[in-house]
Amino acid sequence: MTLRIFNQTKKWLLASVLALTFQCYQAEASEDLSTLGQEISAEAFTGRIHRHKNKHQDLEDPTIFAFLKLTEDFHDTIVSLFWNSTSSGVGSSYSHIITDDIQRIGVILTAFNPGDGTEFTNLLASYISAGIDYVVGIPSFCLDPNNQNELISRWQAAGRLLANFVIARSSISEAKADHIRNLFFAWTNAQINYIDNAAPQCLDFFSPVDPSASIDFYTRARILTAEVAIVVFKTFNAL
Amino acid sequence: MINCVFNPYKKWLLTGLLAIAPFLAIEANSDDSSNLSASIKHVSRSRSSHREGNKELRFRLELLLDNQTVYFHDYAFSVLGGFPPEFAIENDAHLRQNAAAIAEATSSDPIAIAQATALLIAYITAGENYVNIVNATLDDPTNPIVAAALQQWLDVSDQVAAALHQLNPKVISLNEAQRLLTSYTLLLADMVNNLAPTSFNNPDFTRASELYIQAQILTTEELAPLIAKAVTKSKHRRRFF
Repeated sequence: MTLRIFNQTKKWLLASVLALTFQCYQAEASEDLSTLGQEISAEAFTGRIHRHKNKHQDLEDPTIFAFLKLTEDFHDTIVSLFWNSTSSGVGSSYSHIITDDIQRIGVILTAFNPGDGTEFTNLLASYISAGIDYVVGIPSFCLDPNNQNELISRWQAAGRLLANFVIARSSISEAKADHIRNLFFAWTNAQINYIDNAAPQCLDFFSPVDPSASIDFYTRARILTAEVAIVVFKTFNAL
Repeated sequence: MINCVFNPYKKWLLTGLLAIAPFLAIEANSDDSSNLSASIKHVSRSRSSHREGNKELRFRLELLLDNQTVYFHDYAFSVLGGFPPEFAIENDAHLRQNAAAIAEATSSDPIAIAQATALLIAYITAGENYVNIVNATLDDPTNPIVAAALQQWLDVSDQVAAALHQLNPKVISLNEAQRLLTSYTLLLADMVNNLAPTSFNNPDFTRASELYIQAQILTTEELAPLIAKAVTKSKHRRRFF
């Protein structure tokens, strides 16, 4: 049952992420404004960007909020996929939300620099996709042998690509570069840890491993998300 | 709307990050969650024991109030999603711990801390009661007990608002406190309503997700700075609640 739901959801989520990736290559920032949400006036937003064309500092908070929303919606998707027993279309609903979240980040970053904004957004979509691959693989982790370590490595590698993107566009010391690599590494690991602790136990498939630990790691993931967002913002603001 | 959805947020996260920074490197791959939990709580307590200026207090309150929103959301999410009860139990425990941390951050008087904690827990309990009533009346959302539960929650929110006003009447007017607390409570209630499963095959959590972030913004952008200002400008910090 769980495997079936996972596979179905994986299909939705991956389709959305792939669609997003394609759109990111194609789209200019202004064309994506409609995805920001029904209540957001495109005119107001473009006006805001244009008003601050030479003063992107005002986009720092939007960047942080956009990353946080992505992390929170991703968390809710994952936990729901494990345990939601009241709806069968959870993955479908959240795939749209996560896609919108990534596009929202893309809109903000392309306002700084269309090329780099698009490239980073595609890397971010790949990063989320690697996270989804990890979650989809969880039921098989109870088997021996399994590919858990390989999937962890892939997700961490996707995070490393994000870090390398930032480092390559920054004039920073090697120590600062190490800090950024460690930040993205810790960000990924915090998410892996909250997922592992929210997942079903191998020997008791009806109980999570450790919800309290999962909540603590999730708190840490949210805090690290903000630092990631600040690093990304500073990078783009200096381009 | 973009202002509403994306507004200042960063400083409390930096504060939180600084608080846990020493543990990031050494626990990056750790499975020892009990150590992490203890570390966060230890840092939380030790930081609150220091005298803080307005800025530091504001950042700290932003993090704590945001945690409150996230833990409440996750409580509602687990109840309405039919998750194993451990999730609701643990989110409730985190809500109560966080309530105590909020009280500790705003006062050094043990009696005031106890009173503030009790009031915040009453608010949490009323909110959880609303969630459980909504969950129990999914087939009958117009049942009067739903409206009664919301009114009960709003009544407690008024008590919290009155306590905030008493903290420093020159900084926080009663009307402003009631406006903020009522808005926050109604955002959470609307979020809960939108998390409730309306269709087994076609749920849509988009609205709930937007309300969720709006509630977070209200606490971090409006409520936390106001409380921090009131506390730091008060000559009687011990009398927070």
